[in-house]
Amino acid sequence: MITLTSSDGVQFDVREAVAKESQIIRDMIQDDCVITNIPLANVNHKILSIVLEYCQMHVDKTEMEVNASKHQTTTGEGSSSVPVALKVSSNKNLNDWDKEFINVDLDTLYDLILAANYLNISGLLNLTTQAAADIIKGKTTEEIRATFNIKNDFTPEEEAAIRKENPWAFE
Amino acid sequence: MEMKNTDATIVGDINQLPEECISHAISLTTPRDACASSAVSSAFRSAVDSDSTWQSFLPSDYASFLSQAVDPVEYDSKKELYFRLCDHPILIYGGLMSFGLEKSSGAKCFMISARALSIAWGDDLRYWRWIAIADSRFSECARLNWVCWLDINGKIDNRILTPNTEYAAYLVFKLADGMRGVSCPLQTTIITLAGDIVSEHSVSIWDRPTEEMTDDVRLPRERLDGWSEVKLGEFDSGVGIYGEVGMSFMETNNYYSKRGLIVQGIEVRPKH
Repeated sequence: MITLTSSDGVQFDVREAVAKESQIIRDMIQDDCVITNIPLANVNHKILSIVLEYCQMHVDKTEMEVNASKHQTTTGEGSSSVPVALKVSSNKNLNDWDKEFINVDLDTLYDLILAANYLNISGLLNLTTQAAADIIKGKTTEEIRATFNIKNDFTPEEEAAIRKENPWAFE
Repeated sequence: MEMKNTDATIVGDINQLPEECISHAISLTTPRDACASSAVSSAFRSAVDSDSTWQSFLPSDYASFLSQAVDPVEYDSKKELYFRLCDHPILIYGGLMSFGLEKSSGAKCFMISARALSIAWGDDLRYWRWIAIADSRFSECARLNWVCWLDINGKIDNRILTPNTEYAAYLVFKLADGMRGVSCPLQTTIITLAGDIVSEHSVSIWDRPTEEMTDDVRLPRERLDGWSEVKLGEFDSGVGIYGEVGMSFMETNNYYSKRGLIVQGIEVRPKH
């Protein structure tokens, strides 16, 4: 077990495999194999618990698949198509789970992107940035500003010049 | 771990995200969305303009086409390269084909020059002449002197097209003075994908409908480059479909002599 400590001092005990979903934690453990307590200065306990929920789920699913295919190999039951079918259905479940998981408010989404970026968890970073991308898609400039509460810091002339570069994108 | 439902109602500041994260998110949208995003704020504009954003909109094999360019393509940023390829297709394969991108999607577009098409009697100066035309992107165009058997075929490897894209093929042409025999009978077009016929149509390169024409006959339209085009047919490039796209334009039903057609090439681009 490894203890991860959030920026606001809350400790989470997790299995090494779960912590190692993060590339930076994986690097730390590799460099120093006796490390057991890792302070994470940039992630508060609320976000860390969500991040760990994601890591836990993905590690569990991977392990289930490995075990299922091992069982398949040792017992030699059935045809070889079974593990593939299992994998497909489990990927589908995981995608559904991801979809439900990422259904969060914008504040949480920003924090999750920051945490995934800081901890370098590629699956979570892709999932969260894809969610942000899906929000942007098909929106006008004004709608993007309103959705993300972004202040327009261009002068009217600057903005007009940008629109003039690609008028087709603003039609 | 039941802390997912927060009661926060205040929307935070997306600008707290590092530029690379905003770039990453925008690279997962479309070129149109990226351009709309660039007018949102200076932080968004900077994220949109990054090389990583436009790299993702360029086709993964763009470098292989640049390496085949007749004239070296110079660019300072991936964004510049993207729009360069949208606005000014480059000549590749010794000038026999052009390569470009469709602006809103980044899908690959090609034009096969007349020289790289298979034209019946094309090598016989009695029937076809090879001429230079100022507003053609290729050095040579095929001018029909006269022929009874009008038969033009092009093919392109489906794997070099952007997958999962609805494409259309167009004959790019002009009608010269003394043109005749091209309004009646109509021309027939066939598109094949990996040997299967996926589209078959009647078209007319003469833009004035005649009484015999039914509504489904495709007529030509003018292009921005001063040429005309007529749609030969449509096909979906699909995923992992190995094989060639065959594109045929012909009128071989009667032996009236046909004259005055000038062919620049066959263009393959997204149909929308």
